[in-house]
Amino acid sequence: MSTDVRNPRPDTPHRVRGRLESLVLNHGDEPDPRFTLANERTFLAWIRTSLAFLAAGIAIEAFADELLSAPLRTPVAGGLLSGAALIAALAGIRWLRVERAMRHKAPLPLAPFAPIVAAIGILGTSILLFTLMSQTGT
Amino acid sequence: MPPATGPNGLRVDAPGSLHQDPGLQPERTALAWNRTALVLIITALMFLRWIPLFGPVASFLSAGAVAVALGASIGRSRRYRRQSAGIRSESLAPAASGVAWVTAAVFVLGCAGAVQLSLGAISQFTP
Repeated sequence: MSTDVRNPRPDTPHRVRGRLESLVLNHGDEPDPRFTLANERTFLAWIRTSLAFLAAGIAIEAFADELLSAPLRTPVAGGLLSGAALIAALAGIRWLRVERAMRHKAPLPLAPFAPIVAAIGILGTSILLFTLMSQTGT
Repeated sequence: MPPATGPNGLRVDAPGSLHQDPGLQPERTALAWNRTALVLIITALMFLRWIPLFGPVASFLSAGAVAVALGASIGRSRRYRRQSAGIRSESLAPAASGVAWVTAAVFVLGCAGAVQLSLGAISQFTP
């Protein structure tokens, strides 16, 4: 059995890259596959965060009918839904930036939107808490 | 002859195992996709509660979320095999198309929900 110089492990064929992979990730060296998988899981965790915002927005519009008046309810729900879309987009961009940084052995980019996510959560909770307290007070 | 060992010193020829990663990375990634699919199903069920408010449009949003959940689930076992092979060969192409699809789908779902809300609010306040 001859040894392929480009493929030091002849028992495993060269990976087949998709078109998108070779388009957006064609520079640098492939990182440890474990790091690639960790980046994928982090992306999915952000996507679930986005989906939680999405479900919360849907739920507030559907269930908080008697709790919140329409002029307050619809902006809160709309803010949560727009926030969900924003987080999803940023999750995808961040996945790509982290993957690129790992390929170039560069420092990983920060997640500057993490405090924004926390701020949306605090704002939404404050509005709901304030409404609940003012209603039980009267 | 001693058994074949991988870079971490573990046996790589154990019967029935696709990889010998003590960090169980392929499992954890497959489970992360599972959780994401489950949350998508919950989102789809929530959208059903919009049908009394906004009509059949909400059922399209719900069906969209179910479709993404199905897509995430169907690719899972193929992805698990591919990623286990990637751990074995220490070379793995990142799942760019899967990431792109899920990103686009959740982004569109969020935007469509926000647009539907605004349309509902406009129709409510116009005589």
